[in-house]
Amino acid sequence: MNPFVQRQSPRGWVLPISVLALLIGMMGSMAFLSEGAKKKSETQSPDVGRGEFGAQDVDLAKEVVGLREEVSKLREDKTKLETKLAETGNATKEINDSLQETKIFASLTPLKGEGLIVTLTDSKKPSDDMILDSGLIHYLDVLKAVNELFNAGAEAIAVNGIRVGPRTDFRCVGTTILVSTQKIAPPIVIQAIGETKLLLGAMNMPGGILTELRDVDSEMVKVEAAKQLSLPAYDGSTKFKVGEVPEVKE
Amino acid sequence: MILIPILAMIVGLILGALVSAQVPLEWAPYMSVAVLAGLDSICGGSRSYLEGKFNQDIFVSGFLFNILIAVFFVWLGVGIGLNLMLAAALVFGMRIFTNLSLIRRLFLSKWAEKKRRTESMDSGNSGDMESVPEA
Repeated sequence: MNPFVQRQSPRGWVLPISVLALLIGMMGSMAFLSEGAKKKSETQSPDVGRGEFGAQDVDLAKEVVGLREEVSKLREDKTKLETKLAETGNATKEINDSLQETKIFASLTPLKGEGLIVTLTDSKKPSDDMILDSGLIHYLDVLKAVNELFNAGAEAIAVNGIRVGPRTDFRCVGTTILVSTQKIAPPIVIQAIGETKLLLGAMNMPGGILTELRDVDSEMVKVEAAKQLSLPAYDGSTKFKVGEVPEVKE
Repeated sequence: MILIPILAMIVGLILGALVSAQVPLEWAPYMSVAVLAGLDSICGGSRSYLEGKFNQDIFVSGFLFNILIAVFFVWLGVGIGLNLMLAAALVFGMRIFTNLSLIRRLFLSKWAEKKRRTESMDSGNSGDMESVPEA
């Protein structure tokens, strides 16, 4: 017989163990409930993590109003110029054509033609199956897609109806993506005018820029050919504050 | 007798669900590891009883101390950027497994002993001692 064994009353163990078992049961229940609430809050706010800085930091309203006014002024100038050109006869037709070409190149005119529509959507899969926020569309995905489309020969691109021009930038503000100064949110529809086959090839290229999104969830990316697209003109700022055209010495 | 703590735990689970009290989300890992530590102590206590070594003071102090150490481990892990919760969960998980397997073996031994005694008593009554089977 072990001399160190203490004598125990037959029922002495039941009360403490039962009381603490009751306590642990309650704590277990609370842990379950808390974990459930945590998962619920994660699925209800899938956009958390997209923001690099808060929307409140950027006040864009004044800038947008200024840009709209500038666009109206530009359009009026354009009409006046065209009228004058028409009045002066055929001699200036060549200059007018050249001007229109430049404006087309600078995305300052609406454009139509065949092309491609790429739609990027946030994944609807539960966030538990994702690594961090891989199921969300980020501004970098849009930027990469636009870059790849230009690389594949796209002549004009519009993102959610906003024409991509020489000074268009893409960035992230809170849960939305900014195209220059205008906020957009998924689904992101990228329309590109260009040779459909080439554009399709670039978008469906194995290991291409959309592969990562397709690997996460194939539903996040939709690419479809379009026979006739109609894109609006670039309505961003065209003002130069610093740069000047150097004088040509004769 | 062993059913009473099990029933108490089930009652606790139901009570917790009925009250539906939630700890703040940032405390959830501490709560989980504390539950694991508590379960380990209860398993250890039950085992001690079956071994005939149960001591209430050791049991209660072990219960509280285990929980505190586990919570401290998680807190330390958060502080130094190392997931020490896994370490605590692993150790407590292993101890729970060991304790439960020992409890099972003790129960089986007791049951076998009881059976042997009953059979030996029956044999004693009939006067045939050599036919007692080994447990």
